[in-house]
Amino acid sequence: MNTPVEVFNQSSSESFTDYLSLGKKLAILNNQNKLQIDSSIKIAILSSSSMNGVSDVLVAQCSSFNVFPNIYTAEYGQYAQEILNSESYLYSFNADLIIINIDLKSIAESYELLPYQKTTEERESWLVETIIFFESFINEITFKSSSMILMHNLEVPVYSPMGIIESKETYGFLESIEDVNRGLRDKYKMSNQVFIYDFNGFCSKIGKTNILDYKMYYLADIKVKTQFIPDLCSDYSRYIQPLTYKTKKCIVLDLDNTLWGGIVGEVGLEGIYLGPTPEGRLFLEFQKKLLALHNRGIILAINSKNNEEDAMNVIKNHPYMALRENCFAATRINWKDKVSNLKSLAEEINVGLDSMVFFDDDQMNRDMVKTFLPEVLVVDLPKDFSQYLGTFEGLNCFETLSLSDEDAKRNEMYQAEKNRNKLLKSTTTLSDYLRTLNLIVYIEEVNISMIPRIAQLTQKTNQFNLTTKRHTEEDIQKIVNDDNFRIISIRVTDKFGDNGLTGLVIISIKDSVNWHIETFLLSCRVIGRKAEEVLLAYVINEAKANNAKFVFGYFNESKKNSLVKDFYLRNGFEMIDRTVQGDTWRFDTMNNYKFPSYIKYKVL
Amino acid sequence: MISNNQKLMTLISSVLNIDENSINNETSPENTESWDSFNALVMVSELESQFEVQFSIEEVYSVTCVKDIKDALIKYGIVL
Repeated sequence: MNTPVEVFNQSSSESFTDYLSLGKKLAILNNQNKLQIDSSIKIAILSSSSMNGVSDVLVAQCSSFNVFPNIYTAEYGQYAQEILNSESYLYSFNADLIIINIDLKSIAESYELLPYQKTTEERESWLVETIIFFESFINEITFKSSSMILMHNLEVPVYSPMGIIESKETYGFLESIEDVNRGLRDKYKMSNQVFIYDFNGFCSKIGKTNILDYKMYYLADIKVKTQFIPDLCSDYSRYIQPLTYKTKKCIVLDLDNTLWGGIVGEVGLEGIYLGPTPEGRLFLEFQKKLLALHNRGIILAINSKNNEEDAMNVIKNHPYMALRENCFAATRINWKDKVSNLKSLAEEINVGLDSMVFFDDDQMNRDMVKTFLPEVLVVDLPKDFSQYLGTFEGLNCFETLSLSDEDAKRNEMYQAEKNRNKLLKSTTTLSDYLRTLNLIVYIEEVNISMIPRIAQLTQKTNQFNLTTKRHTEEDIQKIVNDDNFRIISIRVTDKFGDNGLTGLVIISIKDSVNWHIETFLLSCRVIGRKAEEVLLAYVINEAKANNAKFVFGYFNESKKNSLVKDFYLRNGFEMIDRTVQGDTWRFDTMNNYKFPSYIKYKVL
Repeated sequence: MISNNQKLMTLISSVLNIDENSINNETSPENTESWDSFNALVMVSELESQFEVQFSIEEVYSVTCVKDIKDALIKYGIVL
C-alpha cells in the first residue's frame, strides 16, 4: 500500500503527458484498493468547453500534497442543466468544491466575433445581463448546496476589430468584458462560499497568444492548450490545499547563500552580499518577500550551520537585513545536522513537519531532509541566486481561504511565546510560572465577527481537540443561528501579549436537562496553562445555573489527540460508555467544579 | 542521438500507455483501447512540439494508424 504522495515521488511529473499517466495510474491503484488515502475531497467540474485531461492532471497534482480527489466532470456544455436541475448528478454527488468554467465564446460568440454590431447602449446592457447570467447560476447552486464555488472570470481578448482606437470607444468591447470581471469580483468579495477565479490573469501569465491552439479548438473545443493544463490545475490546487488542510504554515530558512550571499563565518558581516548592489539586492528582495508572508501570518524559523554569534550579529546589526530577530519564531544556529534541527524546530514551534517548507541552497542538506523527513516540502533553490524570487513566487502552498485577525498576529504571538519560554526556564513550578504570567481568560459567547476564526480553529486544531469535528464557516453560521446550541469561546492574554481567540466549546443544549459538549478544543499555543479548566468550569456553572443535571463530554480518538484522552477523567467526569466510536463521559452538576485559583477570568 | 523512429515510438507509447515493442505500423484506434479521440489529439500536440511540425486539420483526420503518422512526418521532411 502506498499513499498518493509516495506514488507521486516515484513518478516523473514534468510534462502534461507525465501528469496524465500519473493521474491514470493513481486511479487504477485506487480501483484496486492499493492506495492508502488519508485525505480526499469531492470536486465537480462544469465547463462550457472541453476539460479533457483536467481530471487526471488534477488527481496527479493533488497527490503531491497527499490528497486523492474524487472528481466528477460533467459533459461539457451541460453546465446549465446540471446547475438548474435539482435532480442532477451534480447535487447528488455533493461536491466540496465546484469549479465552473464558462468562457466568452460559448456565451456570446456573435459578440466576440462582431462586437461592434452592438451599439454602445447594447454593450452596456450586455454587461449587466452577463453579470446577472453568472449570478443566477451561482445563486442556484448556493440555494441548493453548501459546496464551495470556484467560478472562472472571462478572458479579456487581446484583439479588437477597432485596433488601436479600441480605447477611444465610448463604451468599448474589451471594456465591457473587463467590467464583467470587475463586477463579479466585487459582488463576491464578502462571500465565504464563492470565489472568482482570475482565469483572465491565468491567461495573461501563460500568454494569451499561446494559450489557445486554434487547431485543437476547432477539432475538439479545447480552449486551453493541453501543455498548459498542469498550470491551470496547479491554480485549482491553490484552493484545494486549504480545503483539505494541506496548507503550509512555517518556512524554515538557511542563512548563508539563502538569506544573504556568501559565508558570514568566512567573510564577516561586511563581506556578505546584502543591500543595494546587483549581488546583494536579490537577497534583500527575497527577504522582503518573506517578510510580507510573515506579516500575513506565515511562521519563519532559521536552521543554519553557523556560529550563532556571527549569524546573530548579521541579523541584529546588518543595515540591510529586512528580517530581524523578532521575525523568527525559533532559531537553530548550530553545527548539528539539519534533520534533527528541523525536528526540534517543529516541536518548539508546535507545527507538524508536514506544514513546514525548507529553503537551503545546499543540495546535500536538501537531499538529506527529503530522505529523512519526506513530509517536509523542500524547495529546490536554483544554483543561480538571481532566480530565487521566481522559484519563491511559484510556490502555491501558503494559501488560506480567509484571513483571520489571528493569522496576521500569529508571529507576534510566537515572539511572546519565546519570551514565555525564557521565563519558564527561570521559574520553578508550573503554578509559580502561571502566576507570574498574569493570565487572564476572557470568556465570551460567540458573535458574528468570531465565525471565521471559530471555523478555522475547528479545522486546524489537532492536539487539544476532543472530538475533532471539522466545521466550515457556513456550518458555524448555522450553529450560531440555532437556539439548540451554544458556542462559548475563550481569549487568553498574559503579560507578554494577547493570544487571541484560542479555545472554544460547542454545546448542544436541546435537551435542557442534559448538556452535551460536542466540541472542546484549545489552540496549541495556550496548552498547559489551565485555560481549558476555566472554560470547563464556566460550562459546568452555566449548566447548573440553567438547571441541567448532567454535562456530557465526548472523546473520539484521532491520530493526534492522545494528549487529551484522559481530559475528562482528570476533571472529575465519570466514564459511562466506551465504544469504537469513542468515549462518553458525564459530570453530575450536583458536584462542584472549581475555577483554577491563580487564573483571572472575565465573562464578557 | 536518439533516432527519430525511437523518438516516435517513445512518444506513442507514453501517450497511449502501451509497451513500445507492441507498436507496429498497423497499431490503430481499432486495436488499441487507449487510442481514443482525446489521446489522438494529445498525440498530435506532442508530435507537433517534439518534431517541430504543424499538421493541418485534414492531415489530423487522415490518420488511421501508426503508418499514417509516419507518412505525415515524412511529408514534412522528417527522416524515419
